[in-house]
Amino acid sequence: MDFFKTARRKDSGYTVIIGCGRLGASLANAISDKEASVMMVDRDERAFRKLGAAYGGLTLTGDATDIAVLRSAEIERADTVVSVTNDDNTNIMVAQIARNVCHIPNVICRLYDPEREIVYKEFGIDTICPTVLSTREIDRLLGKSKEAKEA
Amino acid sequence: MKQRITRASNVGKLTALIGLLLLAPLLVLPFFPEDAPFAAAFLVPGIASILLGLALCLCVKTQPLTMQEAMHHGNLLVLYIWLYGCLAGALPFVLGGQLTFVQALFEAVSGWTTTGLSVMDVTVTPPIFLFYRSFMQFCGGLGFVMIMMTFVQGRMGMVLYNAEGHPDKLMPTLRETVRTIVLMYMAFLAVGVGAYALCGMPVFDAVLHTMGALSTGGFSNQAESIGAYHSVAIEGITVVLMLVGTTNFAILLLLVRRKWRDALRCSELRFLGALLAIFVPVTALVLMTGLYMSLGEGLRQALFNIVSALSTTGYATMSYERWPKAAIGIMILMMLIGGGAGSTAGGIKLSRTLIMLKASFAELRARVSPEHEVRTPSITRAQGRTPVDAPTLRATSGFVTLYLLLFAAGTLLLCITEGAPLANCMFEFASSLGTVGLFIGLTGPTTRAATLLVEIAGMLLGRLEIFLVFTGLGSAVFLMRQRKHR
Repeated sequence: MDFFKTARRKDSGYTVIIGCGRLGASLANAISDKEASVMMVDRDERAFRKLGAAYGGLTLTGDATDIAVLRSAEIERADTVVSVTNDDNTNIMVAQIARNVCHIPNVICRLYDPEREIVYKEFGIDTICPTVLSTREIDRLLGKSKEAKEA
Repeated sequence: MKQRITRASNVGKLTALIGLLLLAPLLVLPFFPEDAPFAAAFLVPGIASILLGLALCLCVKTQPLTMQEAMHHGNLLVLYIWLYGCLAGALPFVLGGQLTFVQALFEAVSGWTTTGLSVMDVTVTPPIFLFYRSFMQFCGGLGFVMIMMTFVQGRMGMVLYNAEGHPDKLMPTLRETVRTIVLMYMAFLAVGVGAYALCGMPVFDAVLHTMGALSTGGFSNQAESIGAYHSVAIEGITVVLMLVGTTNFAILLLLVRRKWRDALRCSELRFLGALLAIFVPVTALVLMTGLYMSLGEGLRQALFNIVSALSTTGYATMSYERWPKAAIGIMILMMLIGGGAGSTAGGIKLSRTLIMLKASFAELRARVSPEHEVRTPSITRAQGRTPVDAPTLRATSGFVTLYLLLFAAGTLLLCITEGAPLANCMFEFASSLGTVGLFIGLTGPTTRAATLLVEIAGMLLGRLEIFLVFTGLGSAVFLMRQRKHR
């Protein structure tokens, strides 16, 4: 009866995304366009408006810090969990549940505060920090314009 | 090659698909060799449609669209394919010399929309046409877009899927959702045929009746429909199949996964149960007093016919012409309510009726409660509890109002064209609009063309959930205007 399980095709991958903000929604749309399986979890139903009309994945309304909600998203079957809510603490907690309770191989998490990054390193969770990324990019652009001036 | 199919325009793919579906009845030829002369009636429109589809695939270039354009394209495309399907579907009847054009159109619309009203005399119709009719219902129950998605997918898939009015996503990708639904549908077909055959129905009849019951269509190859078999077992199987057909695919999936408790929590299923629990005994009582039936006979007839009307299938075990008016009234009510949203059934739909009832009770309650008390009514779907908020309420009340308006208009038109008693016209038009297919003597081989046209309009509007017809037309206007601006 495996056929009727939600995420049965392991080969195409099953991604659970927590937080339907701009980043989460555009990521979900991109994955769905590639015809891979996506589940989007957000506690506010209205957030799902950001998903495009062509979005073919599932949505689930609920608080992702509640493990029952994560279980109903069939998080155990996921091979990637991306936690991109607007709250660092929520992201930390979800990522920890995904890694330590559900043993998901890939856990990616957004982090606004770069000082907390060290915590994640210990847990083996990949982090994306917009602050650090932006700093690096702006630095690069500045360097470029300086080079242009000198030349 | 695969890349090419995916990239080809949806218009072409859908048109070619209709051609393929028209060729499908040829599969029964080995079993009925005497029908070989009719092969041309299917081959000509089928192959023509496939060629037209291929030509459209080559000519129409798919260009990247904005989301709004894509939505308009989707609406228009779905409307087009249903109209085209009905026209092309009528051709075999005409070419085979079975029916006049209006009659053939009626039969095709009745087939694709899973209604089951018929102007054919099934006692003299060749089996290949009988199979063709039932096959149309089987496909119409899923919808053309759904069938196309089973084979090929492309961009805009989700847009088309939504445009055809499939509300549920069952799986994390569209491809899996569609495959799951089609697989469940096929599995139920196999189970149904087996069960019928076990109860002594000939295999050909069993295939036709299972296709008719699952798609809530209701075409039969017997003049007296299911009543011809005089078998309680066959009636029982039909009731179960009709209930399966009228259940939302998401709930069916819960049942297939054996999550009984989750399934029983769904409002639609509970409401269905409540309706049956109330109206079956009432109808049985009316039949017992009106037609002097025994208790058992009354319950049996009431259960079968109420399920048939509520599931919008349209199989009958007896003629309704002698039925008491109260029972007829209950049947009309059932046909108006209809089956589950996101199933193959028609009608207002159980969930919409339930939302309207809940809103009415909420209003009553609000009038006797303190002013600042806040209550939000909610309904439970297979995906979980959803509150009945203002947008849902607006969409629902809009639909219900339009539906009832159309029902009134159609009934009056039938009164004019046919000159029959009001109750009969109400029955017949409720049956068309709800894509049910029960009839009370108005629709048959001798019905006037005007009546048939009114019923065709009713069936199409009912199957496409009314709004799609208007949004499709609106989208056509929008796209034409945009083209002018360029």
